Amino acid sequence: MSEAEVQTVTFHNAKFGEVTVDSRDLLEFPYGLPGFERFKQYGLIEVEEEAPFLRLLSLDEPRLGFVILNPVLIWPDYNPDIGREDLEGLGIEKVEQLAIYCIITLSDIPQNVTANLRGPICINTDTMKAKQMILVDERYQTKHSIMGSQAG
Amino acid sequence: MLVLTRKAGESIVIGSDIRVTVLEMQGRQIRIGIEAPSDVSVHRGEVYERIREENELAANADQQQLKSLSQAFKSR
Repeated sequence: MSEAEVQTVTFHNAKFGEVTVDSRDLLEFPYGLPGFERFKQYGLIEVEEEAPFLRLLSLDEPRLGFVILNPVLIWPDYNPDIGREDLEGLGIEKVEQLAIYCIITLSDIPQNVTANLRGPICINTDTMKAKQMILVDERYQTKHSIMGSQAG
Repeated sequence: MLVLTRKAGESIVIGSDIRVTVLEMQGRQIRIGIEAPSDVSVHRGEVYERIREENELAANADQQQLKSLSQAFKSR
């Protein structure tokens, strides 16, 4: 696709206002996310002053928006055991197609901010189909402190 | 809720392509086998609930909190 053909989508989010996203950064969660199964379209938005965190904002529901992070930036050894069927369900055949993020639970106090390593978001970067996995892997929990961990 | 009584080795069929089989019972524990298409997610109930609860806590992300976190993270 040439630069001239790049399309954008603009939508409104209650906390972030008007947001424009490159159509190549639109994600489809065919099953939604647990608790939010009805909402399937999200935009992945990277803003320099929010780095290394990214926004994952619903296109369907203005009050629905997450913050996500590549967990390897904090936990270099993060290596969740994801089922083969789960990856096949996303059409992932090789590791180059797979991007993994974890959802961040924000707080006014940075020390209380946590990452959910038990429910990683897996993205097929070729098709931009995504799914939140629910790990059997007992090493990871839903709340891992970010600021309390060793620098990555 | 539909309640059915089953013995070890017996199963329940849900729809046309999901089968739940009681494999064995040992004291207070029951081993269950589930056969389902690959696009049907099967999870332990309590883990699924923890993920759902955490998603609900995280689902209303705030821009100011995010900016503060990013600054704190970069200066740690």
